[in-house]
Amino acid sequence: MKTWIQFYRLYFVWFSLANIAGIWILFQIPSLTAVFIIKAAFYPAIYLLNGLSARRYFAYFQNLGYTARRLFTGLSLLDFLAFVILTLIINLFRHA
Amino acid sequence: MLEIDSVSLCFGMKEVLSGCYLCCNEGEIVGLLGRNGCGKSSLLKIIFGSLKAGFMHFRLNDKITKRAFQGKDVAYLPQFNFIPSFLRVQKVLNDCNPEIITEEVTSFFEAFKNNRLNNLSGGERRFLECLWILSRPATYVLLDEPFSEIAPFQIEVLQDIIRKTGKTKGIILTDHFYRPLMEVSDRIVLMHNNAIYNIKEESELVLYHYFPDPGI
Repeated sequence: MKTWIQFYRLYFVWFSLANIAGIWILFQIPSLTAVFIIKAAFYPAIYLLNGLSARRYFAYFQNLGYTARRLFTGLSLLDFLAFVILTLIINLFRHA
Repeated sequence: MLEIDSVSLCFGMKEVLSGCYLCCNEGEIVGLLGRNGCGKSSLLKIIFGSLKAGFMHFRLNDKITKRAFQGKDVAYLPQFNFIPSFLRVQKVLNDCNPEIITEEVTSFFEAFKNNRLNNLSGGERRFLECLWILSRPATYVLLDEPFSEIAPFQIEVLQDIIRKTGKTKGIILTDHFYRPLMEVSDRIVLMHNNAIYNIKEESELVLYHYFPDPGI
C-alpha cells in the first residue's frame, strides 16, 4: 500500500489535472461515452509525457519488487474508476 | 550463486558486450573495473532486469531467471539518484537495516533527518541511497558507482558497511574510484574488448591498458 501511494505521488499533479480536464469536458460534451474515451486516452499520454522525470525513480520501485508499468496500470484503473463514479454522480445531480 | 554468461548487447552498430561471463557467490565481493563505455553499467542493468540484452543466460542459484528484481533476490544501485526526492531522510533511514546504521551514520544524518531528499547534497544523498540498497533483503547487491560524489571519510564508513554486508550477501560493485573498490573487493574483474578478465595482480591492469603504463 505504501509503495502504491509513493508511486501515486510521482503522478499526483498530472492525474489531478487530467481529472479536472475530464470534468470540464463533461460539461462541454453531452455524451458520457465520449468523455470516458477521452479520459482513458489521458493515461498513456501522462505515462509518456511524465516518463522522463519519473523514469529516474523506477529503479526504487523495482528494488521493492514492482515494475513501473504494473503500478501505473493499477493506479490508472483506480483513478479511472473514481472518475467514472464522480462523473455519474455529477450527471445524476445535473439531470435531477 | 549468481551467474551470467553469453551476454551480447549492441547499441546501434556498436557491440558493447559479446559472450561475457560473470559470477558471484554469496559472501563474496566482486569488483568490476573497466574504461568508460565498456559496458559495466549495462551488464549490471541486464543482471537486474532493467535492460534487455540481445542474448544472455542468467542463473540465480542454478535457476534460470529473466527479471531478477521481480524475485527480490537482487538489489541494484543505479548511477543516478533514484530514491524519490519527496521522501524524508528519517523515512529512508527507518527502511534501513539497523545493523548498518552505526553511531557514525546516525550522527552524520542527525542535523537533516527531517529534510526531504532534494534538500541534501549529492554526496549525502548518494551515501543514504547506498545504505538503503545495502539494507534490502536481497541475496545479491549490484552497486554502480557507490563511491562517486562521496567524501573520503564517508567512503571509509561505506567500505566498512560493504565489507560487513558482503559477509552474508554477494556484492558486485563497479566504480572509477578504483582504490576504494580494490580495497573492499575479494576478487577483481576487468571488462576489456567486450569480454571479462580475472585480475590477480594490479600490474595486469597496466597490461590491459586500464592504468597508464608508468614506464611511458
